[in-house]
Amino acid sequence: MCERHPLHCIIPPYINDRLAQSENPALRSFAIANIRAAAAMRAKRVLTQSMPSLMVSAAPAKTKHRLVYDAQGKDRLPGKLLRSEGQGPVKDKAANAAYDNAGDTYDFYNTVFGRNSLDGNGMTLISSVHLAEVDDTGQFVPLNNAFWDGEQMAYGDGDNIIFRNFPSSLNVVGHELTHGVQSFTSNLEYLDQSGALNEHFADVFGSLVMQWSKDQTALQANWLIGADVVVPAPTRRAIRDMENPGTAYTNDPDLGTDPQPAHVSKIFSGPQDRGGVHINSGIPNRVFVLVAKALKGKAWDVAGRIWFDTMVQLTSTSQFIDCARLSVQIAGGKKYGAAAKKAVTNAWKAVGISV
Amino acid sequence: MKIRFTQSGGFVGLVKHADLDTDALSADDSKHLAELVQSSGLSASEQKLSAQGRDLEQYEIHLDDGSRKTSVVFDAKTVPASVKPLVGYLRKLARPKM
Repeated sequence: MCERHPLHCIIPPYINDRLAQSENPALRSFAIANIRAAAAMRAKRVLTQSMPSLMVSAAPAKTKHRLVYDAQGKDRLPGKLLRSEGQGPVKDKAANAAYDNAGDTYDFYNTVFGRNSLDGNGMTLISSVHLAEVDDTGQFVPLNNAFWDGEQMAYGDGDNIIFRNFPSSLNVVGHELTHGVQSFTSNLEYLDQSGALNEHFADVFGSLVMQWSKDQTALQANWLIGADVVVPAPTRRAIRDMENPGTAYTNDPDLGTDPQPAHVSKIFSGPQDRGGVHINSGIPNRVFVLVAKALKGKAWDVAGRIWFDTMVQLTSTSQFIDCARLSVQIAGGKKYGAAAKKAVTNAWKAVGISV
Repeated sequence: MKIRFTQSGGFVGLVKHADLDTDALSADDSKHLAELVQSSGLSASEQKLSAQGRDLEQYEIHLDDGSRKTSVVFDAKTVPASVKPLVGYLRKLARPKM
């Protein structure tokens, strides 16, 4: 529905332009107001098309505020409200897990990086659990996935044959919420190398929030993504291995063999997966682990801060080389020093990117 | 009719394929698949992907009935309701390359 004066919506721009030159002051004023309103509407439309999550309302007190919904085994979001901020646990385990893990991720970003929610301004964290998808008979079956839809997190229950417990994984929840953080910052385009960087940052901070919650050092961390959502089998141990890309699963009847490259010489260039956004993320993932392990200590302390600053300063079309240059530049700043710069430079060089 | 299906993306980023020929299927399977294609309403090539969604599964479907070829690309958020049962069928048959 048009929220402006009805005439503002229907007068063509060429008539407004002519009226703006009118000798009649009232008509001229009206036309200029129209042109300004139209420009504002165009700007708003462009902005919300590129970042629709800007339209999400802030939490009442602009502090940690979570809402968890039950999609009730259907494919519509958000579903029925199950738990709100401050309420005690409910009977639904998946809802409680989504609530707790969203809270841990909020606390991690707020404590470590001083970021108040996804938008930096206390945006409500909305999750839906028990999402389903349609099978060939038109019936709903549990969704074998978790995703960020641009405004909220959504989690399926998994088929319990390959995947399970998506909202119970802090890795997964931290990953999805980091997509939200990116939508308000670099907004890396979800295609090819910029998309692989988007996935990379989601894996980095999904891993760091888990390490932070366990108070692990970089050397203690296992650097696996989604180890707790794959149903155990000899052919699989996680969804991704950040330290050793391409080794999370091998000859698995349902998953195949992990396709992630560990070096730019093996970069995936096919059209699938939006140009391999989940595949080529293995390259910068390896870089981050090399940096974190070289610097030792808690990975979020130095490596994580360098990567957070890099993530929020990149632009939507940034490529691997842009990320490499910016992370080296940030690492070389007064906050971090020569050792950090050397570690970051060497790590990028190890995957074939020289800065 | 020949059908080529590729599923990719999702949180996992799996790439799976299914290549089907209704002439090579059993009579029941062939009829079921033909009905799913017909009820999908797919008649023109198009690509429709969510601008803001992340970790959504992506589906490519190529249909070739001998006289006409149709190619579509959707993701889990943009796939039309009429196409979902066809995707559900193809997803069950899709396998990763080993």
